[in-house]
Amino acid sequence: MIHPRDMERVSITGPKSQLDSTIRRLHELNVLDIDDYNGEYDEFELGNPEKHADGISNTLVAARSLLDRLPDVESDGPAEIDGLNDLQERVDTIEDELEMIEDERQELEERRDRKEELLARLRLIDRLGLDPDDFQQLDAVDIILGRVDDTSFEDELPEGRYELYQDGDAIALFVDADLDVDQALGRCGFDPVEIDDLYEVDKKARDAIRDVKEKLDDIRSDIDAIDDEKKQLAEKHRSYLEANEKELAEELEKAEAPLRFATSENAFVAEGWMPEDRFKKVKTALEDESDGRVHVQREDADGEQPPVQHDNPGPVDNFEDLTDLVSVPKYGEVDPSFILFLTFPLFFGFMIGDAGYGLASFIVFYLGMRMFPGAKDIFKSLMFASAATFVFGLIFGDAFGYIIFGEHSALTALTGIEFFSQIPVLFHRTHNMTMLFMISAAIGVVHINLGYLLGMYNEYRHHGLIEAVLAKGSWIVLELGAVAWYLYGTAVGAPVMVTAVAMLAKGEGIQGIVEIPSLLSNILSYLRIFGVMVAAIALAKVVNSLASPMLATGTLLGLSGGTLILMVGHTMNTFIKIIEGFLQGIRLHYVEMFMKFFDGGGRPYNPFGARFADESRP
Amino acid sequence: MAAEQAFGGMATIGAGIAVGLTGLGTGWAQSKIGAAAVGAMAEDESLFGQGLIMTVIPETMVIFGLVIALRALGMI
Repeated sequence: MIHPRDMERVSITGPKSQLDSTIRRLHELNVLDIDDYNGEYDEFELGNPEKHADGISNTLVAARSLLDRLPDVESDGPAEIDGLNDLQERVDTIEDELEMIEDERQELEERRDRKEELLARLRLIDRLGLDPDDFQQLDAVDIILGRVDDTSFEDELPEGRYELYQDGDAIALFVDADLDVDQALGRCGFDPVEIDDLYEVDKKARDAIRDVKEKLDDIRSDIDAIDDEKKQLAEKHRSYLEANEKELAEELEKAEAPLRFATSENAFVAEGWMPEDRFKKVKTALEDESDGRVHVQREDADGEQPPVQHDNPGPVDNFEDLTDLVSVPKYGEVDPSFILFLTFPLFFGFMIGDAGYGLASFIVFYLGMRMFPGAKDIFKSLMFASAATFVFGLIFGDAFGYIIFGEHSALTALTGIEFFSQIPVLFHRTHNMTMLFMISAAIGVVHINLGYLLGMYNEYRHHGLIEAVLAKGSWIVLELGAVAWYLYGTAVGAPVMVTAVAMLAKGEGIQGIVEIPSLLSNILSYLRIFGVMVAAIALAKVVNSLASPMLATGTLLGLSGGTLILMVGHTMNTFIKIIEGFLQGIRLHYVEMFMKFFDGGGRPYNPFGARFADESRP
Repeated sequence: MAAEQAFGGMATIGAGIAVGLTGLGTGWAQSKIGAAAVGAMAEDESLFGQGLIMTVIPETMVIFGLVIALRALGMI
């Protein structure tokens, strides 16, 4: 529990005839973190993918592209898993159907766009009071239709040789063909509108507009029908494609697995890591399956870093993600998840220390867990923090900034029930600021020394007792020296501290000496517990004191206004406190404590087959 | 009496300066680190934890400021 799971380096050797079945069995067992073969043995080369890997890969790409193109709808179609050939055939059929639908849609879209353009032009000439047959192409007259910023071009045209129709910025200009008006129009910001097909419309503008609109409606409903068809196609095939895509991806992984193995003409070797406690079962399973022709054996780790799998019981499990947020632990070092489990909720709870906010934040985290299944574990760990907040709230007798228990109980004042004021509280926080201040610093001392002790343990495991005492124990001696200095004077304290510094210099070198002032600032950093607590109490009281004059009026308006302020204010406060409690609480672990013992940088354990095992887990 | 009042006023101003300046300092430092951290996270989301740690480091300053302020006001 305190370390990541013990890993065993193993090799699996067998004749090539057993390669397929071994891969299949390994995939089912979901246990081997394969080390890719890097060509270290003579005679052994990288294996070749299974013959059908290409086919699988092509079909997979086709199926994924279909899933991408089909609308994302609930599908109730059958989801049977097909063999590769049947699947390929069906994927092709679906693709053809989809292509036909998409082609038809594209054609309809083009027709729609053309009609829309025509409609806009017809509306334009209608505004100008013209009709399509006015746009007959004549040799002697140029017809110009479009929009302009102003009509100053008129000044440059000779009187009587042009005719201008204008409405707002829209113009239609009929001008003698031998006049060049382009430059003049250009200066007025002319934006032309095509007229080519206008004269083909053999109707009055109004009638033509009505006709085109009708046609547009038809086209649009055709497009809707096509979309429906596409949706139906998705409904029919989506679940089938999804199921088979998953299956194919799995098959592909198996088919390509030999690429990670060492193979000779007749044999294969796979190397990798598996949890030590599963070795025996895996060995039996693989060897039995092949009638003893496949051989599984332990190998020397050769100083290689094994992959890391957390190994924590029950609720500590939920805190692993918070650890991995900083870094996956290194193999063999202390897994700090259980420290997070022990102290993070306490910090959070102590800082906020309010039964009301404890409940409110619990609800928020519960909803968060339901809404973001990906971050489920982090929300679960935060629910522990909420529970601690609630408990501390009861201990201090606070809920939403009101004192609920003890001699100042607002509940008693409100309800007249004496019982509430008789429930004992530890102490009222507002009356014991100095004590809370000292408690915060004391938490720091304890927490940081816990960090040093874990650091000692890590050093002890990897470098032996002497290194542990020199590198990490020296810090504790240094602190003891400071205490001795304070209690018994320089004569006792100074020699102890000098010794500690000497030990530190030996253990961690100059880097350790430079770090000495940080010991003080790390401990003082825990005063943020006090700081956040003061802010939390003050914020709650601010909301209450804003609401209380309104509540005191006793009128309906006052009561409802006051209640509204309370609800909005405390909701906002809940979120502020979640952010503060989380950030400050987690930071004290990450920065102040973890740095005393935690290296991190481990490689997460990623067994062959796991991706699919995870997905199928209920 | 007047001297006492003046002292109280000075203490209050001192408390304000302590929190105000450390707050500004923290904010200035965090703005730079935070911007860099968000940039790094855009490249690689797994840097969230590291980014968070780096970003919160300067916060210690304002905590010290708060402590000094409360001390100056005689609240602790």
